Amino acid sequence: MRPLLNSAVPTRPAAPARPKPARLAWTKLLNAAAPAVSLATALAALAGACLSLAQNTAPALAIVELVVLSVAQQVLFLYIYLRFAKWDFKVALLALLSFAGLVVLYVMPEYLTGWQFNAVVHRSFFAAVWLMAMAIPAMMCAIYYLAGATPRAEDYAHYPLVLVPVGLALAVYVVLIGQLVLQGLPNLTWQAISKPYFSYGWPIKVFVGGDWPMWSSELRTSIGLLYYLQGTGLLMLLTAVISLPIGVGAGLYLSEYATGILGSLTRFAVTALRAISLLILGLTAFSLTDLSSGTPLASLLHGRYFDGFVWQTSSGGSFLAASIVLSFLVIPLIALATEEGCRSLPPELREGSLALGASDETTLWRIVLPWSLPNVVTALLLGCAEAAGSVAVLMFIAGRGDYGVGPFSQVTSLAYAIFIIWFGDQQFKGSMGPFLFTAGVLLMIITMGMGIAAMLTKRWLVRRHRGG
Amino acid sequence: MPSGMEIRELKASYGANQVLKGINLDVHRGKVTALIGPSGCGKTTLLRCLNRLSELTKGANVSGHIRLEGQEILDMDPMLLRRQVGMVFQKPNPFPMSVRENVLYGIKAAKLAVDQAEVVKASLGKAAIWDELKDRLEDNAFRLSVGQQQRVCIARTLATSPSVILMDEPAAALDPSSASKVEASINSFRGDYTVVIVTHNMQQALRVSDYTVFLFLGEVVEFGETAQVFNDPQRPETREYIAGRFG
Repeated sequence: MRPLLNSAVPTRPAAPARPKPARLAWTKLLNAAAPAVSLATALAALAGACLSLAQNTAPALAIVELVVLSVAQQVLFLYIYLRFAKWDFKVALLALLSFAGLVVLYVMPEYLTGWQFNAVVHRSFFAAVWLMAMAIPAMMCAIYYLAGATPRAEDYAHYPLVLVPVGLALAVYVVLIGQLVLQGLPNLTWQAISKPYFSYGWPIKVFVGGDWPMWSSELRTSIGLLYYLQGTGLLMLLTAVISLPIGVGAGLYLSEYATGILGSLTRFAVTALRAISLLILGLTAFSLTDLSSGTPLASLLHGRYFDGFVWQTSSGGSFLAASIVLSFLVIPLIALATEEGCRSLPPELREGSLALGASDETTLWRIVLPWSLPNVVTALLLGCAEAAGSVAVLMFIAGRGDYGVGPFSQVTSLAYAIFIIWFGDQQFKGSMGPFLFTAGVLLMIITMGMGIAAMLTKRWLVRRHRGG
Repeated sequence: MPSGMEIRELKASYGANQVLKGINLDVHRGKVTALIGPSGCGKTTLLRCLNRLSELTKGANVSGHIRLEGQEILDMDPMLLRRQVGMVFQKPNPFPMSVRENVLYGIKAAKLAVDQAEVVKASLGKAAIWDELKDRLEDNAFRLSVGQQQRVCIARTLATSPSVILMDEPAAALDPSSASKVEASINSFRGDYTVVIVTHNMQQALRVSDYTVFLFLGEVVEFGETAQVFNDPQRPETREYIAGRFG
């Protein structure tokens, strides 16, 4: 069938008089009108869907949008018939479904419960879902026809299918980070990060009536996040120091020497470590600390502090104990990354090194390890970020960090601080309450910083050691 | 100082596949010997047996006698052997380090006490690339062109002063200009090094070598001075191959 509307492109061989440019422009505009309007209504519907989710709006907005959407789809349907001489039933279906949706909304009460439903079906939620479900196909059809209904236009038409979910995910991400920053930033002062929290009695000598000295104690207090920051840093450092040699060694073994049963067993052991629930690791940390009480190991694994008179051993665990258990998580990361890096070494480089009379050991240190360095460093930084954020592993052995931070002091970190600001005792909550989100912002800066550092370092190392 | 090699009853197999079926050969000291033959006849395997790189492949089985100046190679420490018998590969394989570090790699690996700057200059000079790279010694070798990379690999092999140099189609992956520079270097090695070169290119064998070995199906079919093998081949298979009837 011949199209009935004027098309911008002449369908017959060149006529003697070409249409004037002004007329061409108008034709193009008219041709774009129907799909453009449809696109606009679809976008409005999408906005309406987000709004419905965010607030408990009256159904009027949703109903109006569905009416407009339905009408726009019907106009589009006619336009397609007139211009392209075909019936596009997708568009017709959309018009019908929009109409059905608005009818349901009109009839639906505010909440729906009972019958076979075991949950509340909220009218706004239904509106949001229906609008979203209508908006995306409507956008796709509109873009297709706006772009001229060519095969290329089909490509463009698929963009909403990808961009809308990505956009929504990004929006959620922005909102989450935004609310964290908005609530945490006001309290992020120099005071907050330069001073620690402590509240303990410190013995002092007082002179009462003459030269008789007596021991009394004064309450020393401070409010701030310093020790938690230092603790996070120390935890990352100790975990790195412990996991790096073991992880790299395991990775090298797996890629260079592992054969047969021992190799499979090692690989299984390394991978299975990551499958252990973090709370179990927390219990492991507690056991480590608890079982070593009364043994010489207690001075290494328990948190120790100086109370003004003597060194006391607390019942909590030290940074060393926590780092040992955190290494269980980080060693597999490093081992598998090292193995992957070694396997990616081009075999001709290894052959070239051996052909020059270098020993296996020289080849390992000068060719294999530098090649896998980007993988190793990335895994290390990511592992440290994971250590910084872990609470479940620490929570049975950590403390408030009153007495400072060191390898043999009781373990504490920003993540744990956030945990006990929420769940801790009243006194702590009272003084540190405002820093709940501030600690969160600091932790986020640290972990995201490590992630970005990992990415940049990998790029630099690849350029340096792989000539990339 | 160049060395001669004697190969007697060399057999090599990879798993069930018997590649070399009893090679008997003399590699003359200070001369260039070319190994020619159709694909799959065992040229590369033979070359790799001479510096025991064949052992790196799983399932490799080498038997027979290979003597380097009277010393039995198969009893030596492979590491020490490879310091005397260097290899240049078909695909240039420079390390991702600076040019200087590439050239000095073998020397540092063997912990030889030499004047490093002198060695770098001499090796790059013998490989005909000193003038191009003398101001670019700290550049990463990966950034060089393929022809330059191959010459750096040759310089790297020369740096440890090996007595034998094995070359597996060194100019095959190169453009004509680089290829001719490589051939010129090989010609300059005569007298100072013993060279064994595998090549598919018969004209190259003619240009570069003193002796030619024609290998076919894992056996030495003909061996003699290049001029004689090409102009007056004794065996019919050699005649057919040289005439280009099969490749």
